[in-house]
Amino acid sequence: MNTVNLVRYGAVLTGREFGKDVFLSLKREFKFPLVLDFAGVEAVGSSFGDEVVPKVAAEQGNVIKILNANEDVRATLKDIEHDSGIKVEIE
Amino acid sequence: MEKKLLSITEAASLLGVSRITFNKIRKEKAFTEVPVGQRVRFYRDEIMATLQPNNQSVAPAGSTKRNIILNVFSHDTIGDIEFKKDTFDLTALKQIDPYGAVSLLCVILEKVRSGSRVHLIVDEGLVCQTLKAHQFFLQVEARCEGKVSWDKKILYGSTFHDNTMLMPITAVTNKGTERSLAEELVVLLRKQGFHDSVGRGIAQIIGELADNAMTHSAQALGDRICWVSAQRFLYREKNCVIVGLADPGLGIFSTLKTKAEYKALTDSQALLKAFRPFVTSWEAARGKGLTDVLGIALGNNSYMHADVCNLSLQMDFHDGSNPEIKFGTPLADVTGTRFGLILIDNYFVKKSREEVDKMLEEKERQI
Repeated sequence: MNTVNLVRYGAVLTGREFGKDVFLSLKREFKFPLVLDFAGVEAVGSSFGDEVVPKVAAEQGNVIKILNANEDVRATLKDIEHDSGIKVEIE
Repeated sequence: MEKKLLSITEAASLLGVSRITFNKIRKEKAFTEVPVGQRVRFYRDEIMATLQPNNQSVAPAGSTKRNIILNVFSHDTIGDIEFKKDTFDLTALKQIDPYGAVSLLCVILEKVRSGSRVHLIVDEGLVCQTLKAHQFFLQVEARCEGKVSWDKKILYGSTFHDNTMLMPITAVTNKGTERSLAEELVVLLRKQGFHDSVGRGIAQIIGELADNAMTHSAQALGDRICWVSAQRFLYREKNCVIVGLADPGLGIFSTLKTKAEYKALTDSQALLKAFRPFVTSWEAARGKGLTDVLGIALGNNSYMHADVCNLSLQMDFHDGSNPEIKFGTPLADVTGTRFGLILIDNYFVKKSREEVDKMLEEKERQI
């Protein structure tokens, strides 16, 4: 599995359009399945998360593994899991 | 109480005239001249009394309320400093926070957009110095193309530094800029000893609200723009951060009511509903940002105002067991949306969407 350090896109990840761009970038640059590493990411917005997390999960059996998410990021990821029906495995 | 004295320059500025014109007026009106050293000064009240308001909805000249406060906790409004049509007396302000400053900016910009020329009365007092340090006048100059006047000599060369300022009023015109600003703020708040959850909460709030604001201003004006500012302050012996964020778009309830299923709502119903999850003018999967912002404010037991046109949704969550939501008078009655939000320095956890929704559902029933 490839691990992507999301902090390469910034420490604050918000905005639907930006989420779409990041997902396209992930598709272009990495081979799925992916593990998303949130080390150094301070905040994630729902709209950004909606455009990245479920879409990455959809490419790999609706499951996604998450590393190093702080408490606030975890809360957002849990909401995304609830809304989209994917399985988010947070380590 | 000692009467306030003005120099010729200050008095001329108050009347919105040049020094030469003021010298003619002072003879005609026979203003009392108070010698101070080798110069003369004039009583401010006497100068104010000569101003005849041409808008009956504003207070009569001479009775302008002093010590006006424009912040999240105030009952005053920007109308209280417009003692004459299109003339704002900034010297009447005792206090202003980022929410007040961005609201004032929106009022001035709307007047200029509608073809008015605006005059600002300034002095060397703390509020005007603070507004200058927060780049308020720079934003006015940048957006108003010479249609707003004030006596620039009064504040020229001021070296006043406000050490409570975290982010001066900043115009965000490109999506992405708000994320950089939020990142800087997270670092700054951490350096100043704020708990991580405060910086992260503020970052998410700015990211979500600025993204919304730029989308909505683009729909209304064709330009993406919003203004953000942040300041540190002490409230009830606790360190707090206040954020002001404004956009000149259609406003939350007007945007929501463009969707057929919300068209029949009153403005206040629509404003409240916009904070519920999955309520959006877009497709159904959206509409989470405002709920998340409210979840942060609720989790932090803080305060939030959302002003749209003549409505102000005012939320006071300081008593965690009894959140208060009410409609009040906005600081500014102009189009667009202005947010004033406070986060108090402590460890906190954002409330879930379900908790926010339950609270709003109860409030909707009351309305």
